Amino acid sequence: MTPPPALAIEDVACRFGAVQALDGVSLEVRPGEVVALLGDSGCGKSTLLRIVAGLEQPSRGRIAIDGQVVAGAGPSVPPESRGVGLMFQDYALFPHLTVAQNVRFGLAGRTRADGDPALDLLAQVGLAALAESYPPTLSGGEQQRVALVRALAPRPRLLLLDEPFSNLDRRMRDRVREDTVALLRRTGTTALLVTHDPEEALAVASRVALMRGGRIVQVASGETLYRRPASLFAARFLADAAEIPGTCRDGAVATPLGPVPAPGFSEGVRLRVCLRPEAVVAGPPGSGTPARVLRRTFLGAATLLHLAVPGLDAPLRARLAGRGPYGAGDAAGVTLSPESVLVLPDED
Amino acid sequence: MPTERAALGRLAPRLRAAGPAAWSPRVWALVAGFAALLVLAPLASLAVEALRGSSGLWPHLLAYVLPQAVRDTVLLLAGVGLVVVAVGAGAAWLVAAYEFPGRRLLDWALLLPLAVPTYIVAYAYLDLLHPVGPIQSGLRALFGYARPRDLVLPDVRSLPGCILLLGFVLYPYVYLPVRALFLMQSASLIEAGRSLGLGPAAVFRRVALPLARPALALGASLALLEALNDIGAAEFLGVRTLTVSIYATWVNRSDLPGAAGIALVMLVLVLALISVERAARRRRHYAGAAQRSRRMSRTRLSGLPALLALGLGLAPVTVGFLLPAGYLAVAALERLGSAGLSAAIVSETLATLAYAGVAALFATGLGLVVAAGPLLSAGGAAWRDALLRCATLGYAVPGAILAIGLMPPLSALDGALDALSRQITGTGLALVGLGSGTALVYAYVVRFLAITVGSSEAGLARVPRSLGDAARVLGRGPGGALARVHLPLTAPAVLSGALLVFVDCVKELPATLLLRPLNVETLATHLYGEAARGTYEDGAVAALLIVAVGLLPVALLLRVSTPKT
Repeated sequence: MTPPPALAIEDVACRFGAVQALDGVSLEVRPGEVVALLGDSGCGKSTLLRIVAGLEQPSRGRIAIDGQVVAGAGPSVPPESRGVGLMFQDYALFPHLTVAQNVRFGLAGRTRADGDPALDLLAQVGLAALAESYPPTLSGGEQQRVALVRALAPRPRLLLLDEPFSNLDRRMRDRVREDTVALLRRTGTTALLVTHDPEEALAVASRVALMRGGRIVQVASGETLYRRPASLFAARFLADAAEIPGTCRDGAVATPLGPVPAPGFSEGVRLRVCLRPEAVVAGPPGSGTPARVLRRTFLGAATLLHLAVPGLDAPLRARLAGRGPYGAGDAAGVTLSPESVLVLPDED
Repeated sequence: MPTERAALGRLAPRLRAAGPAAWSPRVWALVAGFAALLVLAPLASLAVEALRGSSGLWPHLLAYVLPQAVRDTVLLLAGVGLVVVAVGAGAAWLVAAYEFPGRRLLDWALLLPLAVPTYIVAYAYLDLLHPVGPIQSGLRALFGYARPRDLVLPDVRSLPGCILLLGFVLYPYVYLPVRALFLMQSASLIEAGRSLGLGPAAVFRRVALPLARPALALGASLALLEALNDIGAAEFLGVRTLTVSIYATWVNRSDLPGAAGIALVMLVLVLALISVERAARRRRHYAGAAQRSRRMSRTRLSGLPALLALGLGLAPVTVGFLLPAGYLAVAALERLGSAGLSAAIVSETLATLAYAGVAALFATGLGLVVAAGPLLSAGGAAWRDALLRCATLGYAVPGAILAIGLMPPLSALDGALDALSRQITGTGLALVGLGSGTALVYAYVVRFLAITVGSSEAGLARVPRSLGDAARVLGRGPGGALARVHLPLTAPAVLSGALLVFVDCVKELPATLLLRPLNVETLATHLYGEAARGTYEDGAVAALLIVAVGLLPVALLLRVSTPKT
């Protein structure tokens, strides 16, 4: 018998007045898995998280945690009885309680003979020295760690994280993110994370559910979602790309860069060829399609070239390792890297 | 299904049923319903009582009581309304638009008259302006008159006298919100007016004042409700208002249906007042439109204009606070020097503090629970708003109306308890409700519940929603989240509400006069008794104590209304 999923969301809908926040969402999270809900603000991802936590009620559908139905059949199980942890975007640390008291908040009634579990947990993330401080005196990164430890302390069956890194500056974010993922792995925590940042979703989650307008449009591993987006929307959400519109003729799309194969599309379908920088290979003049360098952007480890190709409205971007031999105004040649080219049905 | 049940069984010890959360909204509905009932019961009983009166009741009231009482009350309200708006808005504009030596002092000193209840200002001025009192004697000495009858001042014991005195202690109700609004108003609106060719006076009249209309309406309605609640000043100064008539009808003629009838008429007046205020505030959305922009810069005054501004600003403070409080201090010190602190004053002070303290405690607890409703039950509901509005209706019901409305149900309750006791034990019970002070505390709580509900609501609104959610997810029920997170964070707001109620109870006169247990005096009723008898014994001491207590919320307001920079 396979164990029940840690979290099962079945056909959940939620309506606030005239706004349909969620419209038939289904998703399963397996034990030990970290899944990201990715989408723009207003797509319903935070509402879904709050419904799972029990802070909002779905107007339709079921939620089951470890096989136990907590919403959708009979009276809804209140948040305090669901055994979930929730880490808030603003951390929601209680300002009138010390760091240790914050962490102990969810441990009420559970005492252990061998020391204070709150202090042990704080020591694990290097915050033992701040146990008696009050949250407002802590830095953003420290507050984030306290919030994470507080949510994990009661050993929740499922940890929910609402934009857990969005209040940190960029430099700090990468480190905190790695630490957080390591802690989740170490504790074997099942987690559902909400984010609007594709990079973050790819870095943290084993699977990503992309949401749009109250629905899930694609659930896949981060790599699949990036490499094989199921829709133009998904392709656009994950990365910027130059788009060349066209029509499927004899299994290919004609572009100024030559025909691009469009396997599986029927004759006459309107398509878009999406060229991310890694799909565009810049070479010396004479190789491939002639192009001219408009501008180069030095990124440190790599250089981004902006290339004008006759017949294309917008410039293409190509990524070069190192500095590359090209300057603005230089002539160049462009070829495509076939495995990175995306061909998707037009949506507009 | 079997797997599901197995999983449920496995998890059961870690999970509680939905029960504990489900009762909280129901408990709230019960408490809020109880609070609403507390308010509505006396109003309903008023109507019943007035209908039960003899057939001659209404013709009698209409012929002999109501014409003069309604006329005096309406004239008093109109006059007080004019004075509080003129003085309150004028003072607010003075400290908001001009800079002059002493302005920062005036900023808060203008609030001081809030500490002086209407009956105390009347009590003080009766003596101050007495033909042999300090003011008239001083004027005679100044102008060389020998005898009182050589210099005859207009008698303060008149409707105009009453209007002026009430106006000069009640104007802070207008000053406070209007000043806040002027300070919030953006400089660009004022400057736009100036650039379009308006002088300072025209800007005040055509830009600032219309913008302040919602605050003016709010402040004036609060001041007028206070004026309507007044019993002492009107009676000492010989104005026969509805409140005075209610009291006289009940105390002198023991005519409860008659008093209830007058109270009903007064209730109509209250409703009219509130609907006028609502209408004036209807289009209030433009009031706060410019909150984030630059503050108005003050025009700097110097020389004679500065002196004039200071004098203008000091006038209401002097009339409304310095003169009466100074007189009371001198008179109280003389009394204490000659007779010492009387035992009566000590026991009256204790009684005052006890009633006010118990009422503040109940009002705070009840107010907190009522205000916490939205936190305890999910989703907005129309019935919840309705309950909340009913529970906070009492602030608009003058103490005399409340007291008269409370008497029939409480005496019925006393009678029932007495009969029950006789049946069970064979001996009767004395008046449990009316005789023990329960009635008085009841009236205080109903009258001032809006204050504690309001301050609790304001405090709770400042607690971010995620904190409450975090407490829930960390395993607390709605009540637990309230107790462990909201309550500690809301304590300052709740306590300030409790303090305001406490002080208002100490100052409250009409309900205290009508509902206090037999032979119990509070500071306020003591003062009333002496003024009514025309004796001047411990009255000044009692009045000074009340004013001293009344200064507490002024200090509190000061802290709240001074922006931290």
